[in-house]
Amino acid sequence: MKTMIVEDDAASRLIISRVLAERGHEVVSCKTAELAIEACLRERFPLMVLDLHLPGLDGLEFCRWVRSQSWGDQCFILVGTARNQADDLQAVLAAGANDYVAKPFDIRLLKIRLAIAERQVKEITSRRQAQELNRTILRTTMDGFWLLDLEGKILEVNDSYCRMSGFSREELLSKNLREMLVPDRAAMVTEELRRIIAAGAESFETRHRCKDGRLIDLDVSINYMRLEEGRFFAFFRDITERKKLAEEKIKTGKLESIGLLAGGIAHEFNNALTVIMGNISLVQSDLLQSHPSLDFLTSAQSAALKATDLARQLLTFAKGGEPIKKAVSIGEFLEQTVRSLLHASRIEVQINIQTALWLTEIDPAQICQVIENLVRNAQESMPNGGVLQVGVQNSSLEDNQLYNLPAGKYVRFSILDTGCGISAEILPKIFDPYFTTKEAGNGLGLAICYSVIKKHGGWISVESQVGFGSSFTVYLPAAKQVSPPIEEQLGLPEIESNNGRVLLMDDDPAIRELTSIMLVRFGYEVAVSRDGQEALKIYSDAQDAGNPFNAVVMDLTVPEGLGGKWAVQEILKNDSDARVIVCSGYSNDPVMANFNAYGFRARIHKPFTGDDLHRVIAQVRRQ
Amino acid sequence: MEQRHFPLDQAEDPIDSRVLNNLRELARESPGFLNELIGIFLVDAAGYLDQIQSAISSRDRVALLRMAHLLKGSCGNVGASELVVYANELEEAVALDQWAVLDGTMPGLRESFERVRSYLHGQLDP
Repeated sequence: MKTMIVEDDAASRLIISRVLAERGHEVVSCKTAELAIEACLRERFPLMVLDLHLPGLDGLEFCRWVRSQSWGDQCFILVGTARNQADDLQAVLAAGANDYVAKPFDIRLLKIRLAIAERQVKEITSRRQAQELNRTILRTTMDGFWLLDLEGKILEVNDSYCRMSGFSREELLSKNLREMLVPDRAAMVTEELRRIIAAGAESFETRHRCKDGRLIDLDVSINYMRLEEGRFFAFFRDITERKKLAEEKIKTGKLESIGLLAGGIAHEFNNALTVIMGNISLVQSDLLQSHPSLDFLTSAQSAALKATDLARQLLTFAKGGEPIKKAVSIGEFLEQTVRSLLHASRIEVQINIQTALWLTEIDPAQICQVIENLVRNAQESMPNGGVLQVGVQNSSLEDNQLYNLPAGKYVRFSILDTGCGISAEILPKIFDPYFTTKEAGNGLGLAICYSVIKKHGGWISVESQVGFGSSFTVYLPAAKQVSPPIEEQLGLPEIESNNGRVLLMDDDPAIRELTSIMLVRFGYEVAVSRDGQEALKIYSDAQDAGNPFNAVVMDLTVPEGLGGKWAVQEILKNDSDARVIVCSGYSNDPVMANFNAYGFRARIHKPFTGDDLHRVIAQVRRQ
Repeated sequence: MEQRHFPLDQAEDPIDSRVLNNLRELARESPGFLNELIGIFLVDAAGYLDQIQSAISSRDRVALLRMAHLLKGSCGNVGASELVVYANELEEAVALDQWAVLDGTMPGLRESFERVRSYLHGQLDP
């Protein structure tokens, strides 16, 4: 142990030095308090043996100086004094000395006093080390820490909590814990603290407000300690991300279960709708324009179209329904869509698109659905008009900078309205399926947006303030390619009353019958089959007979037989020029997305009308 | 205050043998210790005596009190009990402004110191 002697008498110094050396101390001797102060500023001495009568600064003053230093409580001061009256010793203790030894020294007594001092020094040292260890733990732990008094005033806080909350240590030390909580929770603090005092400790989840106004979710473990005055020790773990991910998982699970249901019924549902809509259009064409029942049919057709749209929306949740992507400049796409949606409204549209915008790989139909939903919502939130701002810009993200999006290039677009806004209570629920605040809403619009953007590997978020408006922000991954592909010519072929032979394959007899009637009305000669095997035979026979089909319309999925995916390959083996059209109620089936890759010349989604079918047949015949 | 007559009982040893024995014990692992301590004491104490004489002559109470205190401490370290008693008497006389008494103390004080010096010389290790 390093021990300092402050003693002006040389003989006394020699005796104390000798006794200390005998006890294994490393001794530093100073003749005056001034020299001792210099030594203390250079290094620390856990033990000091101090004479009271010194030339210059005396022993009591030196003692007080030591205790006033930041390290002052970490050393033991043994005072040697010839003054052994109670008042003198009282003054010695008041100045901060730990013990005294009478002078002239009785060497045996001096040794006993030093033994006591050594024991105390050990305790002081281990206490200091424990404090240092605690401080290091609190400084380095990822968890936030608070020390609170009984009123909830923050007495101490560590760096991790400062990082979590954005407040500085000084700002937090002037706060009461109630100021960090949301109002509902703050009102419960007194009762909660009382409960913790009774139980000794508690763990629970809470939510704190950060300096920038954000709310963070925290796991808190709080202990009550019955010290001189009661104190609470609280440790916090930021679980905001974890909670978000868990909520995401629940949301994704909900969406997937809807998708499963939708996928399961889509085929039957769309077949039924095809028959309903087809028959309506047949009756419509049979009736005179003045027929009183035409209005009823129009109404039925409108309802069938709504049902079609609903089925289409539900199918976007279906698992495996990957977007049919192509590289698109989202800026132009967004501008065209927004302007066409709002061209007759009282809403002022302001569009700001960054130049040299990166391309995005998107399914235009699905993203169009997202834009449509967002714009319609904005429009409904501004019944008396307002401003809709659309911003599009490039954005490079680091790993996990935004939720769990991987690092990379993204295109970020935002749609901001000046409408009524969304309250904080319902904001976290707006992407949940079936959640709606509209009387006539089905609660699918924003859930679809969420699902579509997730399937595109992007992210959608919302910020809103009641009375000021809402802002939806969407991140979409940038495409690898730098220039947009040459757009496919999607212009519809002229409708021609062109005779020709069409082979129709569908497992549903109602569809077969209806479609046949429609095709016959368009001047086609129609043959029907129930599955792929039968279709293949009819096609081959017709070819062999020198009376081949001009086009084939095949259902993609035949539950109890061979479907169009198999049959097209077989037909193409014998006739590489066969014009085969795929037809399905599973609009998001990969074959429908990449029909060319499977050998089909075109696709048609169920439910379809006679016109749709005629157009697509005419199109493949011209190819 | 009772008037003390110097020197005190000359038949007694001028050094407390218990103190000396304790110092010898300390010297066991540090052979030069006792000689060094005695050397320091003799030089310091001689200096204190000179300064005490000078302070009495100049009637300097503060200096006299300080020197008497230092002498007492120094003597106590080596067990020179007789000189400790002298030093206490000096402090008391100064406190009572008994300059006449103080004027007469030096011869006895020096005589006692000489006895201590002579005794301690005999204790020095060869």
